[in-house]
Amino acid sequence: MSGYRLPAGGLIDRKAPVRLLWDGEGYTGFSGDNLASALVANGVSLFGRSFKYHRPRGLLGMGAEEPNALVTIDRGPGRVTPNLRAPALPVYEGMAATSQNRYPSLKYDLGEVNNSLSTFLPAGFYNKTFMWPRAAWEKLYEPAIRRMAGLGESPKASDPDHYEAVYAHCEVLVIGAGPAGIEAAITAAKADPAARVVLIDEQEEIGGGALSDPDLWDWLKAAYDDISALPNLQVLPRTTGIAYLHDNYVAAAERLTDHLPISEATGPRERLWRFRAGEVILAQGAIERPLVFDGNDTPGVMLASAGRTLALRYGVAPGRAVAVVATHDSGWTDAIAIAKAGVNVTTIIDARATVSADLLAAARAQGITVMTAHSVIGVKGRLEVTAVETASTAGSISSTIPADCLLMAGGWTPTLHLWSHSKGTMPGARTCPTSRSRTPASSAPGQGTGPSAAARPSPRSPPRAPRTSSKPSSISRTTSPPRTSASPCARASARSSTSSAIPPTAWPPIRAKPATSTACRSLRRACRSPSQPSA
Amino acid sequence: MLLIHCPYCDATRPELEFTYGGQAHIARPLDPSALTDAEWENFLYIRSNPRGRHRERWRHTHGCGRFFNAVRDTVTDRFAATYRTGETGPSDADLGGAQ
Repeated sequence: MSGYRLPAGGLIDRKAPVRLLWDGEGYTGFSGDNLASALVANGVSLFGRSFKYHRPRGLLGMGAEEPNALVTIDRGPGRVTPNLRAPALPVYEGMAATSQNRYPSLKYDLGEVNNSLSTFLPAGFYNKTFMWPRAAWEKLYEPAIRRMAGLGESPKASDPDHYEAVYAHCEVLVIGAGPAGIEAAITAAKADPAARVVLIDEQEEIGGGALSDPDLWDWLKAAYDDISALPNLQVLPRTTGIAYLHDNYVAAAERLTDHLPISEATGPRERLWRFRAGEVILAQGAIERPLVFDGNDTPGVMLASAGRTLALRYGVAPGRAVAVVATHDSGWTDAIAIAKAGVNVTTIIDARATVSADLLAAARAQGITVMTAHSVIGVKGRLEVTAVETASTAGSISSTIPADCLLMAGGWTPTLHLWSHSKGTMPGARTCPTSRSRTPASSAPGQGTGPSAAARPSPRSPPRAPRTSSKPSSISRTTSPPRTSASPCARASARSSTSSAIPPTAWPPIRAKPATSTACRSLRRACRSPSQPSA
Repeated sequence: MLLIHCPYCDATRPELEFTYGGQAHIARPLDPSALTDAEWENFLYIRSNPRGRHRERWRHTHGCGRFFNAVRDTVTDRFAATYRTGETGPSDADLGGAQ
């Protein structure tokens, strides 16, 4: 994989270069980049080493799902944080990031010998095999094993930062600010001006999948304007919902200073929000599934959604010759979109025999070779992909395609973590009398209907309000929420009858205008960018 | 964190304000000296531990400070009702039948 910056496009500010250090070497990114996109734009493909066999690992996803690109950020004594995900770290001037779990360097890692010895180090291998001679354990084996088997190093000095915790009350809490979450929050806030609505999202900017889809930027810009005009809607970016407990008690962690240059970071580092909400709407979207083939952890193999985000949100081509392996239409739309953005997409390989004629035509119009009824059986290359081996689904090895990047589209898995916290079950999941009684009964105030699992916020389809379950019964949570267009506002406005639990004059009051919050700065910045794509 | 309704304050407050007070509706024997050891042990120590609906006492420690009774489901932690000390509270039938 040899990524590079596309000449145009993306939501980055190309007039504001940002300098950063990666393993001691200087790189330049742009304001609006994250660490992963800035490094890929500079041709970096190797981001880490695997936990045990020290296999080379590259970037897989472009969000919180990233498993490989774990880095250590050094912000001064006591401010060293290991195991942060590169795509979740916005760049700032003077950022110092280092790779982990390698010695002496990321490219030449002695630990990689484990990979050759993997036959002798199976899963469940017992490190105390190295017991003998006894004296060698403490002096030789344990230090070596500890250095080789692990992730980042824990910080040495004590943490000089301070942290804040607040309580907050709201009528509607929306978790996840993709198209579905934004639409839900705006609808709820408009329906009842007295209802306090809070929209939280873990990313720097709200928008979710819409940020990676230029077709939705006009809609997103209008949504930002809507949000600024709604005094009862508060937006909290950089805020991750971390727990969904009884009676709609939701904990969220807001990162306040880690995105700022060290000199500008003042005040508490993080804030713990403890929300008590009348209604909670879960709109956390979905995570793309990888596919299984030999070498699918080679740097250069990544999710199609990551390729899309790199190309369209950050203006970075993930490689110079990109192949796509799909079992799902979203792989095709991603491939076509990034090809239109100027990325050289050579081939789409799909395991399905038939694909819709529109997709086939659109792919061919971009000059993409189409291989249906084929799948990838392996990739060649060690530190980066050099070629993709394919076979027809009938079984015969058909060809080896030169490529330095392979995008995988294996379908989507909804982000169900908070849904599961709240004891929700999957639609279609088998229920028994026991598990049914375990789903939260909704007779208690404040637990009106439970969360509604928003559909995957497909950035490709027009934004829509999330589905909401209309019946406040425990059973309705175990079945698919009805596809009604009932907006969350209907219940938000009915709170006087259902949620006597929410004190009408709760304290502390939610900040009325988001205009003064830090949330807004990033909103405005992001707002500007779509309308003025900088050249 | 649970929300609990105090029947004296007539307010729903977070669990932090309350303390648990054990099983409710255990009447102290009028003449303890007349009890056998087994009956006295039964009164002092033996408590029910149901899976499901449980009648129990709670105290609004950081509010009015008073004890009240509650019906809570021990599986879901849902409060079906809270009522003042001395009242019998809603019957099982009122709460949707025996469990």
